[in-house]
Amino acid sequence: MKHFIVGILLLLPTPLAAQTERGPYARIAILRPHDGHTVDFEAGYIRHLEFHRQAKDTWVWYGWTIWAGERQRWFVYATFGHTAASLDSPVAPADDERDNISNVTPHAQFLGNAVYEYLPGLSRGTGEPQPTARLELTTVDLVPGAARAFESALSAEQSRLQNETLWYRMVAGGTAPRY
Amino acid sequence: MLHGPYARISILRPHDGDTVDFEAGYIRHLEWHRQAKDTWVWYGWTIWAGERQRWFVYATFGHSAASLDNPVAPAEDERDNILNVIRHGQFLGSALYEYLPGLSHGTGEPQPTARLELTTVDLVPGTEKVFEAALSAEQSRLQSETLWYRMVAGGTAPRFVRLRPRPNLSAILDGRSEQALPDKVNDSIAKTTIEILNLRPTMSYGLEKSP
Repeated sequence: MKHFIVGILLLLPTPLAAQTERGPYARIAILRPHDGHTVDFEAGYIRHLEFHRQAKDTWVWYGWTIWAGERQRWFVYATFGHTAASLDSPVAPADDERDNISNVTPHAQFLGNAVYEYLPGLSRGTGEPQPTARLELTTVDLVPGAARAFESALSAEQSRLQNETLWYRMVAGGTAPRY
Repeated sequence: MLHGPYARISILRPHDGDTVDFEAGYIRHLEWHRQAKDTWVWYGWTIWAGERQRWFVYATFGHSAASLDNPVAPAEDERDNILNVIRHGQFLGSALYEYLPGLSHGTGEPQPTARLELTTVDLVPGTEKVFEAALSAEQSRLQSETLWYRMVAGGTAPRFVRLRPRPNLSAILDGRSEQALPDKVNDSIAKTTIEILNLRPTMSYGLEKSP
């Protein structure tokens, strides 16, 4: 099990209310700024978000920098609360890629992108995290075949959760089973 | 082309910041294949979901052993690779697989759909027979195209890969009930990795349009 504390919510390009379709799916992805390129990376990423704004992207994009963890200073970007159909309809993919190539890829490596499903029966919250200053991110890789027992044990403890606690099951994008 | 059970699946990682040049170079290389009258079909996908995000997968399917022994003009192919591809990407693996029709639903040559779920399963040594028997027992339940291959050479063994071509992400997400492997194989599995790939029609060669 890996714990990371992801700190400093950097960027929130659109109001949380802008994304109207709600569903259980999330995309969580990782960028690693090139060594010594932090300033250029952040400036490029902000320019890229301006592309999203101009393209009238209705998705909400969270941006965090990892503060505690072996991936310290890597950048996590994510979007939550999607239906499958919504994930199939991102804003202008070809233009998005072109702008990424202009503004982001010169300054960072793309090191992962995964699709997750929110599990309300194990969680306390809506599946769309509150944009708090700090976020604790825990990644759990299970032994094959242990998913049912794991979910059932967490479900039994759900009523004890006092604070926002959001569990997601990875659908694709890495080693499975992963939560 | 003689049809047979063998496939080659390979990986290229474009150099950081070189995506445009890599893609242009690869397309030029495919033009070399066209001019050389290559009769093989080459699929090209970009990994979208996975730790190898933005890496490029190229593959050819449905070969006999004799066919794999007769690729188009290898020396010229290499020369063109050096001119157009190597300077913009790293070759990070090439493996040979055998299609397993008894575990699968489909022909062994994937439909060229927009999305592809790629599952790589590394097994505990000695468990291959149990694994294959369990998947074979579930074969009749498969509703959608599901293609299993056993790695012959090119990586850590025993390794199996499963391809599930789908028209869109919704079909992958809505079809999650077919994603899980039978409980009987849990003790056989050392590691499972699931990735989603996007077909790149302009970086493919000889594909027919998906029905």
